[in-house]
Formats: sequence, C-alpha cells, structure tokens
Amino acid sequence: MTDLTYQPDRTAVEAVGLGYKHWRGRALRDCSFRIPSGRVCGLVGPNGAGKSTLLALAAGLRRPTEGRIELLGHAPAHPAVRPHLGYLAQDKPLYPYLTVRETLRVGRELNPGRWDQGTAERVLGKGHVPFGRRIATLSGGQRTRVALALVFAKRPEILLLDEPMADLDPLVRHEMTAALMEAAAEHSTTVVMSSHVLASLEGVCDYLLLIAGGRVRLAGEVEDLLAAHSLVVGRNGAAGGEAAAPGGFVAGRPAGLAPHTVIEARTTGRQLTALVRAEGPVDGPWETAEPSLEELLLGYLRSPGAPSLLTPSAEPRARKAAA
Amino acid sequence: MTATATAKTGNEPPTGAAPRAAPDPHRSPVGGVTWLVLRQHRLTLWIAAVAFLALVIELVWLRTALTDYVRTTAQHCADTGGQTDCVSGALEFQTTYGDLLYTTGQFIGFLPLLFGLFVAGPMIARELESGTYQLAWTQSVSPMRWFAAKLAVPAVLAVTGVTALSALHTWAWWPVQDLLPGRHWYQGFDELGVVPVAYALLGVAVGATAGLLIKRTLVSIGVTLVGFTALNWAFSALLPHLAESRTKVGKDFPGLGSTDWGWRRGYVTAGGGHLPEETCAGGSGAVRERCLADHHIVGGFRDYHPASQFWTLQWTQAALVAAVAVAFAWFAVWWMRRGHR
Amino acid sequence: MCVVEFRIDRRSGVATYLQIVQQTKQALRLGLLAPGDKLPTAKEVVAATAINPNTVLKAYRELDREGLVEARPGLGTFVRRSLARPGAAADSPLRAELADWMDRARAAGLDREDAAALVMSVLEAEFGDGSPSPAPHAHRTL
Repeated sequence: MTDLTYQPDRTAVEAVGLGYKHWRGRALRDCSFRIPSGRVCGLVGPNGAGKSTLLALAAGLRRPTEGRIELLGHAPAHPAVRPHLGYLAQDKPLYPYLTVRETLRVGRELNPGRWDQGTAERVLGKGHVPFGRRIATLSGGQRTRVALALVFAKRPEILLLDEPMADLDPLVRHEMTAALMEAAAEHSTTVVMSSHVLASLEGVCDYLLLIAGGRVRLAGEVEDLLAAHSLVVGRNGAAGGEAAAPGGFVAGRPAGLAPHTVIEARTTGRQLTALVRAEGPVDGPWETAEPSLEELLLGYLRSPGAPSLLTPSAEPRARKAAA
Repeated sequence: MTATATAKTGNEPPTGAAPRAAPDPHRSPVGGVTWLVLRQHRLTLWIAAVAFLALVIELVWLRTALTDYVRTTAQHCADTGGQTDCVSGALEFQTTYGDLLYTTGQFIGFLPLLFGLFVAGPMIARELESGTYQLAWTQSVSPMRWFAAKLAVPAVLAVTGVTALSALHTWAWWPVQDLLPGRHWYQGFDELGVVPVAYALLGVAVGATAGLLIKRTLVSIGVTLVGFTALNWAFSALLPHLAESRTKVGKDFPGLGSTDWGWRRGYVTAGGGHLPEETCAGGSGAVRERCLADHHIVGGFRDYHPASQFWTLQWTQAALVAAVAVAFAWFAVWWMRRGHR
Repeated sequence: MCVVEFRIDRRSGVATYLQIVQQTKQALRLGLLAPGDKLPTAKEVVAATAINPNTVLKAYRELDREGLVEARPGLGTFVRRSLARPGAAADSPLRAELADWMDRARAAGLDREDAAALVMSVLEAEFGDGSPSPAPHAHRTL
C-alpha cells in the first residue's frame, strides 16, 4: 500500500493551555500543541523539562491543574479512549512475582476483547524470553521486552512511551524500534516517545515536540521544522555594524541578520555561527545550510528565551476554533 | 498529498482496528481485575485459607470438648456432691480449655486489624509506591474499577471469614461463659457476635484510605495501626453509653451479679446527686473520711448493664462501627475519583 | 523472487527517503530488479531498518512519480520499467574490462586511493557533477 500512515485531519493528541503543578513546583505551564494521527512523534527535552509529566497526563494517570489535554477528542480517562491507549512508564513497571506467562494474562484479563496474544508472543519469542520465569529474575532487557509486549499486544491506536529504549543495548534497541515501526506501518499507530538520546530519534520520528522549562518550544513535522531554519556561518561583524564579543554566546541580534529571527548565535574567534529562523532567503556574506535535527534542538535548548515555533498542523484546532 | 483515510475533524474513536476476540480457552470463571487481585496476593490467600481452616476445626473441637467437660463434671459434682473435686476440676478446666478459648478469642479480635494492615500496605500502598499501578491503570479497565476490586475482594473475604469465625467462637463460648473467669460477655466483647464483622469492614476501609492517601507501604501500615487502634479505643469507651444503663445504689459500692457489667461507679451525695469515683480516690483513712464528709457523701452507686443487654449493645456497636467504615470507604472512593493525584 | 535490502546511512547527510530512491534505482540499473518484481512492503523494510514507514512510502511515491514503479492497491508496489542498460549489468563485458583495468593499475603500483582518484577524475570529466549516494547492498536470492 502506498497510503501514508498519517492522517493529517485526525487529531491524536491535543493540548490547550496545559499546566501541571506539584509540590515540587510547576512541571508544565501553558502547553499547547497538536499531534496528528499516525505520526511517530519524538518528545524531547532536558531532564526535568516535564516530558514524563506530559506523558502521564496524556495517559490519564494525573489530572492537569490547568488547561486540558485530549486524546481522540476525549479526556484520557474517558471510557471510549482508554482501550485505544497504550502507555509505558519510564521504569517499565511489572509485577515482580508473576511469571512472564501470567503477566501476559494480566494484559488479556484487563483488556477483554482487545488482546492479541500472537503479537505478544512474537515480540517475546524473538528475544527468547522464557515464559515460565518470574519477572524478578529477568534481565533489564528482557523486562523491557515483556513490558513492550504488553503494550503492543493491546493494539492501541496511540502509544505513549516514556524513554522506552533508555536501558537497552544497541541490538535490543534496534529490534524494539523495528517492532515499533512495524506496528506503525501496519496499524497506523500514533507513537509519542520521549527520549534524550537525540541520535535514536533520527530517521524514526517524523514529528517533534520539544519541551524545555515546562514549555513547548518546537512542535511539528521534522522536515518542516528543519526547512524553516538555517545554520548560518560567517565572519563576526561581517555585514557591518558591531562585532559581537569573541567567545561565548551572543545576546540580541548580530548585525547583518536583521530580518530573520536568531534563535541562537555563538562566536568562536572571528567566526559567528548562528541558528536562524529564516524569513525568506538569507542575504549577505553568510554560508547557510539546513541544520541537522540535533543542531536544531541544541540551538533551542541553549537559548531559553528564543520564541517557540509550531508548524500549522501542530497548532491546536480547538484554540483556533475558539479564536 | 494527504491520505484518503476517514478524514473527519470530528475525531470519533476508531471502531475497527481491534483484533477479533478469539474465544479464550484459558478463561477461568473469575476474570478481569478480580483475577489480578487474587493472583497478586495468592500466597497470602493460601496462608489465610489454611489459618481459617485450622481455626474452624479448633473451634468446633473446642465447643465439643467444652460441652462434654461441663456435662461430665456437672454429673460428677452432682453424683459425688464434693466441693473439692469440682474446684480442682475448675482449675484444670481453666488451664486446658480456658486459655485456648481466650487465645483464640484474642486472635479473632486482631483479625480486623490484620486485614487493615494488609490492605493498606501490600494491597494498595505498595502498588502506588512501586509504580505497578501505572500498569494496572493504563489497560482497558478504569482505575476506579481497580480500586473497587482492591476494596471489594478483601472486604468480602474479611466479612465472610470473620463472620464464620466469630459465629463459631460465640457458639463455643456460649455454654461456658460464666464458668471461666475473665470471659464474661463484657470482657471479650470485640471478639463475639457481630462486632468483629463490623470491625473487619472498618479495618479494610481504614487500611484502604491510609494506603491511598499515604502511598508509602511502611508508613501507611503504621498509620493504619495507630488509627485503627485509636478508633477501637474510642468505640470501646463509647460502648456503655449505647444502651439504657441501670443503676444500683447502696450504703457502699453495691454488689452486682456475676453476669452484670458494672461499667461505672461513684458516690451518692446527701442531695441525691452522683459524683464520680475520682472525687475521693486516693489517700486512705482520715483523708478519705474527710473528703467524704466534705462532699456530703452518703453512699455509692454503680451503673451496670445486665447480661440481657448483650445483643442490644452488640448490634448498636456493630452498626456504629459499620457506619464509620462506610464513611471511610466513601471518602476513599471520592478521593480516588477526584483525580488519581 | 528478488529481495532488495536497503542500507540506510543516517550520518551521510542525505535524506533517508532519497537513499531508498537511489538504492532502488541502483538496483534497477544493475538488473537486480526487473519489471514485474515486487518491492518489499513498508512493513518489511521497516522491520529490518527500524526507520519510519512514511519514509519508505515517500520513496515509493517518488519512484511511482518517475514512472519506475507502480502501486497496486492491496497487492503492493511493483517495478514497472527497468533502468538496466545492457552494458551496466553485473555480468556485462564493460565490468570485466573495468576489472581488467584495475588489475593493470595495481600491477603498475597504484594503491586504492590513486585508482579511485583516477576513476573519479575521468568520471567527472565525462559525466559532470552528480549527487553522492552510499553504496547499495542489493543481492539476488531465490
């Protein structure tokens, strides 16, 4: 089939003004974004940025203190949504004294009518996880397989994964990513996975959500976000005006890049490197290139003050309708 | 180029894409969340079942042994007419059967607390503390159903188990209640009749609330222990006031029948008023004489409940405890519904 | 049945879907894919390479647009026309000549870099600048 897996008009996840506060402080503030159905979305951000909180809110494990989040048009706790949602927490919780077989039975019992034992066994079978062993006796990689098998076999429409590949060795990580992509190919599953290993997201995610400091900084299709930015290299002070001080970050806008939004600029000696959101072609004595995903993310992470960018499909429809 | 799938902005949840539910050959009669709760705590269930069976057998045997003993001893006493044999018989009676009955009764009295501690710690707080609740709550059953099962399963088991044990204990105790010292109806009140059943409900409810709010296994066990004990103490203090009490007045503290529960005593003044016992407690001889004189005390009174009040007090106390249990359970359900944190 | 395996180089700076397009074209040129052959489904590619399935589908669309392949709904994607030129097949005389030349170059004392530089310079003189692509990894299995 050549139909693409994503359906741009159907919303998988949408948040408007989402905020969450716990006793340690504010984890998320005023987050608004939209993830269309069928996308593989990478949720990135530094530690403590609020990624886990966001996924927990999307899974219905917590209630937002401000704003709202909706999956498939309903609150996450809505009975129509819950069967179509799969969630895997960061520590991949499993009942330690149950055997692997019994753990799969938990999935079967708690998901009546939706359980696909074949998929679960397939995900486990490849890794040779013995069915009669107790969870507590399994290695970390095997435990992750069991946890992933539980989530896949539910055949959810939306998969929320909190750092699923964090503790895996490269081989297992490749296998699990492949299994995830297979599910996405076959069932057009929407996947939202958080990670701080940026390299593992390249080629896998076609949608991006960058959260830093509890706020949404970037949201949208990866290729559109990359195309909207330019990595600009040139001589410090080249286009006239003041030269920025050598070394370190540059505040404000370096001369010569005026009409464009400078996300982040750095000087090294006489060289100025800037990540720029281009409003039209970049004129002047600059060398431009499309940034890599990592360069884009690092640029935004290093400049907390830079304005955030959402591509049109990442704008929440509800807010637009209300406006 | 957009795909040609159902492109409606209405976002109805999908109707297809669910795998056909093949008829499950492994399906046991108990399914869903109930199966999970039972499987999770399987070991404890087995231990409890064995203990229950042992107690049932012991109580049945005890009743038979007690009634037999009473019958033969009474016969023996009537035949021989000798006091000495009956007295020594009574001693042997106490040490052999009395202690056993006493210990069993104590254990039954503790069962509600044990249920509460188990529900608070291993059943609820441990899941919240270890994170496995995240697994249970993100399947197709709602967290409310999970919590309902975590409340209902121990409640049902506690009520049936404690009802059976309490009934057997009361049945074993009934024929010998006044033949054993310290085993009158008002001395093992929380281990007899319907009161333990109500306490079992209270234990489960308090434990569930503590586990849910505190979310730490050891702390919630500790809090349940303290809380339940405090409630128990409060209900015990309240017990004598739950039914119409009778009073006997006399020159000194009047005597009562052996089956009467004298729960309070004090002084009677010349004007007919009642003063509490502490008014002239302590001191001796002259000090006490003067205290009595100062307060114009002419006699003493005793408030008591006769044995005929046993069931009235039982049902009233049970209703009160059960009502508080329901209040705790209601609160826990409300808390859970309010937002799973 | 021919199985084409795609090798994705994530660090090459070339978009993933373009790599698939180029490797498919390479396979067509070398005659490893003939008209009527079925391309692997997105699911199969993704199971092996762990990349996003939309990337594969985009590549197939591009090939469809260029008329090289044809999507048959429900059946899969099939090769429509070949790019193979008689002279470019893996067993062509041109290849044998090139292998011959390599032997002579090595005998003359050239090492790998020298030979490559020589070939590149002639290539550029003859064909001009072309976009780079990583080596395909296509093989014929039965």
